[in-house]
Amino acid sequence: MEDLLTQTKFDRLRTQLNETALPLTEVAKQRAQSLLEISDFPTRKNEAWKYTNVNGLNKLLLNASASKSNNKPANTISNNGRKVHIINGHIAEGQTDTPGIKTSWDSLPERYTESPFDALNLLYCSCAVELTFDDSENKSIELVFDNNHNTAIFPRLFINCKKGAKGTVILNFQGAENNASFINASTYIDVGENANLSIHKIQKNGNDTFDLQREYVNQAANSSFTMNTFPLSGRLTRNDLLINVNGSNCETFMNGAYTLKGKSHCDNHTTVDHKVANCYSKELYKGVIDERATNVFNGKVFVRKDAQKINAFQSNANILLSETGTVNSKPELEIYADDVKCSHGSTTGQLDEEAVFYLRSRGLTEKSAKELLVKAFLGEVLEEVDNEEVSSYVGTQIELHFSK
Amino acid sequence: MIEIKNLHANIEGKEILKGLTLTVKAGEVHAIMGPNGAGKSTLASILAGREEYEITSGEVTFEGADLLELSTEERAHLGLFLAFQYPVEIPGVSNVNFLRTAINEIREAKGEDSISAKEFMAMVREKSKIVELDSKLASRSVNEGFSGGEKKRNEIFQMAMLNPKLAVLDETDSGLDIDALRIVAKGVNTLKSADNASIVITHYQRLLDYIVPDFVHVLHDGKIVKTGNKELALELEEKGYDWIKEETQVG
Repeated sequence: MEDLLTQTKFDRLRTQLNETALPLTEVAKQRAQSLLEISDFPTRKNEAWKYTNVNGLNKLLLNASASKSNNKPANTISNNGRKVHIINGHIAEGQTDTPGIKTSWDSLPERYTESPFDALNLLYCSCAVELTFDDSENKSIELVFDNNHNTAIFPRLFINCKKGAKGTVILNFQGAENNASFINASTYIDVGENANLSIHKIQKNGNDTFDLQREYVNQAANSSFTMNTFPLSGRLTRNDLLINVNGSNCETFMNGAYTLKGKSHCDNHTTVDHKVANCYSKELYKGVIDERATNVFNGKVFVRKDAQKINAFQSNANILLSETGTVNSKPELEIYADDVKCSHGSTTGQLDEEAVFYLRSRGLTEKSAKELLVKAFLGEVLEEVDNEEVSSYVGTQIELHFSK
Repeated sequence: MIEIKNLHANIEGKEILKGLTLTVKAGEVHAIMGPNGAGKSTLASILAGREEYEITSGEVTFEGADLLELSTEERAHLGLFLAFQYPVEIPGVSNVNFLRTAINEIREAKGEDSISAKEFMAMVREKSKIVELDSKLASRSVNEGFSGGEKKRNEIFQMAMLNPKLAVLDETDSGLDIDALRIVAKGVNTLKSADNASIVITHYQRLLDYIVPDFVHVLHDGKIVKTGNKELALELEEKGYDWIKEETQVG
């Protein structure tokens, strides 16, 4: 009885989870456990979670013994390049380590743990993958996460783009339409000096899936990093992107496009921390919100005291297609240097009715007029995507979103 | 082609059209002139299907159909075209892409096959010449960054592409310099045939030097108060609208 009273929401969630089969050091385990013991699910009182409620996680019925094999071919986006297939959170049978791709571990790296969800990820990790790029060939690796069981999917990813290297990663989350999984991913990204890394993340989750992901990025001098995020479907999606720009002359690009309907809730929190001078960052997130869906955007830009000559631009634009959709958008700039150029903007509105009428007067149905305008609106984000396969895939998904 | 009978319409409770009657037959060009506030643009808006107007009485028959019962796009499918007084800028939507969608939706509504890419591009080349529209403008975002003249030429270009039965030109001459006016008029004249018709709405006689109307109607206080031939337009230019107003009051 006493146990029930003192049980936290994390405790209840953990009763449904299977401890990781991957090797953890005792110290790491202890640390993660103690963090979880003093934590509970975030509430409205927690500023970073003011608009996003994860209590629904405890209503999920997670099937611990999900199948690791899948008869269907993987839903890949790229034709070329290497792929790692992850089925219901587990590395597909037959995957072996190759140069640049490591999936078997003697000891799972702990890395820093920012959030109790990282501690949870560590203790219940279902797969860990390390990708390394060490030359300038711009190799591409796609991780395909096929989710067709209602289960807990806890990927732990390490992406290293070494000094002078170039790489492209596609993180492709594909859920069966009515999938009700819990995805909880922690991704640690290191971009070395003069390196150039692009990550494209597609979150096409099942309609009842909860997807919480955190990416921790460290950028060394003269590097370029791009993170493109496409939350396309799911019950609740929360992305925390934290980029530390530790070296000078860096470029950082963050783009996002989202299409929400039904009761979908999508929350993108991004932070760019300009710690040193002479860097450029640009962020563009755009989305359309239909029916009873909710979008949350919080973009923080820090410019530290000695980080002069920083150019930082941020923009979030939303179109509400219904009267019942919700948008909470909060751009934040914290600037402690005096010679910087920063801008931020946030807009939320409806489709331009005059434009809809104009197109209809030329013979387009109301539906196709709106679809054309939405595609044009999101097209600005897709133009920023330098990967043809990814932009055409997302473009197609946007079309499908409206044809349903 | 189109028959408007005793049309009454309100916007926000204010009566704008007060019994407008007009018949246009195939092959004809009708000019509608009148002072500001007479209801000229209201007529164009109602014909195109703007929803903010309330029709209180009257009827409009277009190609045998009850026009007022049709949605804006259904009117376009039947062959109605409105050249806007203020064409809308639509960033990110390319002119040709949207025209191709429009042509295909019109064809689909008629049960016809969609246009091939080759046929479509040939048509773009041919029709853009009519209004001397740079082919680069044709492929740019709809009206984005276009000058006033380019926007109006683009309206006529779209009209040429869609080949409507009835074109309603709503003050197409406003804001045009004489060269642009000449090009727009040339476009309209080139597209004229025995099977189609146009209603040219204008405040000034100027445009009618280039587009010669078969009939000129004077719209005043929501009604057509005078109908004549092209000479009437010249008379209006000379005397202004005041004599019409006086004549109406006396009558």
